[in-house]
Amino acid sequence: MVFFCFLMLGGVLLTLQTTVFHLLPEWAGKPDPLFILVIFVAARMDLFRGAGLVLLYGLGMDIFAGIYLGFYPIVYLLLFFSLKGISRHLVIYESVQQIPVVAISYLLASSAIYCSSALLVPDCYIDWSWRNMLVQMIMLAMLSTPFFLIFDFFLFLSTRQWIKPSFLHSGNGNRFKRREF
Amino acid sequence: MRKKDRRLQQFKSYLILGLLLPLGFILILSTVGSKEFNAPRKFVFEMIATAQYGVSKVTGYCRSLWDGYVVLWNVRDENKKLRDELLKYKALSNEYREAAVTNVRLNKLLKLSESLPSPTLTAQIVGRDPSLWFRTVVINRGTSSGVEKGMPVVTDAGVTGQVMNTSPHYSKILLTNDPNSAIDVLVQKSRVQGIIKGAGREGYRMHYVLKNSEVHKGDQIVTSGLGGVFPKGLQVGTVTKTVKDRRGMFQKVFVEPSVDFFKLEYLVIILKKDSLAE
Repeated sequence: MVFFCFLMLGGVLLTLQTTVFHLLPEWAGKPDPLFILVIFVAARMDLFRGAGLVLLYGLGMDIFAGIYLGFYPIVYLLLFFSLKGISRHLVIYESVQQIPVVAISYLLASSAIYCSSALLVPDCYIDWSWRNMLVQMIMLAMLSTPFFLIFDFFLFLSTRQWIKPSFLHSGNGNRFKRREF
Repeated sequence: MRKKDRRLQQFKSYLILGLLLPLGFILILSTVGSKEFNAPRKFVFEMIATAQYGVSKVTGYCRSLWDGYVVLWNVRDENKKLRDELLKYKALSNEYREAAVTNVRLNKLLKLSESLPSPTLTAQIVGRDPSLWFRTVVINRGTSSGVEKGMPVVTDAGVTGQVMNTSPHYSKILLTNDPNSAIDVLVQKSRVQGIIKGAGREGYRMHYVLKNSEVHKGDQIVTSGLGGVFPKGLQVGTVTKTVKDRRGMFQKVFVEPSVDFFKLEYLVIILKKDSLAE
């Protein structure tokens, strides 16, 4: 149930970011909520379900972004396993850490896609713009907390188990305790 | 006993993970760098593109609603009666204006279709590339309408792109400002040849133009017809800057596209049967 709910949610986000979000003014960049969902899945879901979802998100993104296939599933999976690996030392559930994690992950994922495109297609001239990259990172950082709340709500709808947002926590107990679905 | 069961369960999980993950990786790695959609990808493309089509219809309706009514909410306080009348006439005039603009646009497309050698097909853009680096769009015409991979795509302003992938009802177009796009072109006045490549936000760059070639700011660039994809003489852009470095044989030529890629709504596909694009 959770798997299919989040698969559908990924499809809806991909549809929105290829249609509605393009109506936004140019200074707003290209919001990428699917990327926030990848981070959310890495933070909240178990290894099997999470890896499966992230793989399918990558395959979906692959169809609509660029013309060469295979970049996005690999980058998303690598990001997923890296986040799973370091999640023992991070509290991604808390908004204070969500923001830098999303921004830095986006920078790393974009660099990986840029480098792999440049290596695989040497004739292809891709313009790396720090300004655009910063706009994207700031935009994603700003959107990460509200989107995490929305995704938590979806998780609640599909599992009926509510994770309190970080600002509602009392601050006691083990902050590093893993809460996976 | 329970401990043994748990260990067996754990062993099973690791076994499944150990088998599924390498298998998944092998499947993905085998597709890295390819451009062809396989059956599952075509299926997903068809599904999402249908959703994109629906959403673009809804957003189009909402935009017209926004333009027609919501913007006028600010004048509500002035005079209710006048506002109602104003609203009515504004909406009517907006409708007429939109109809007139659509008429002009479609007329241009019709004239373009008549001037092109092969049969053509008009398509609407339903989705755009979600990435930062690439420039592709999804249109609402596919193989069922006769669209095939490699067919050239134009607008009344000039060359716009090329069909890259198709499904029964939708196609993916590689725009000419994408870094992967390359077209054989020539300078209209001096007949100097070169290759136009997409440079994202910078527009185009014309490559392989010798330093002693006559290329100046303001020169018009058109398709050369070589390569067999685009018909000869289609508008591509205007030279904005030329740079001659000390080193190397070639000069750098920057070109502003004749097409405004941010305002694209409708495209014309030239239905060439013998497209050479690969």
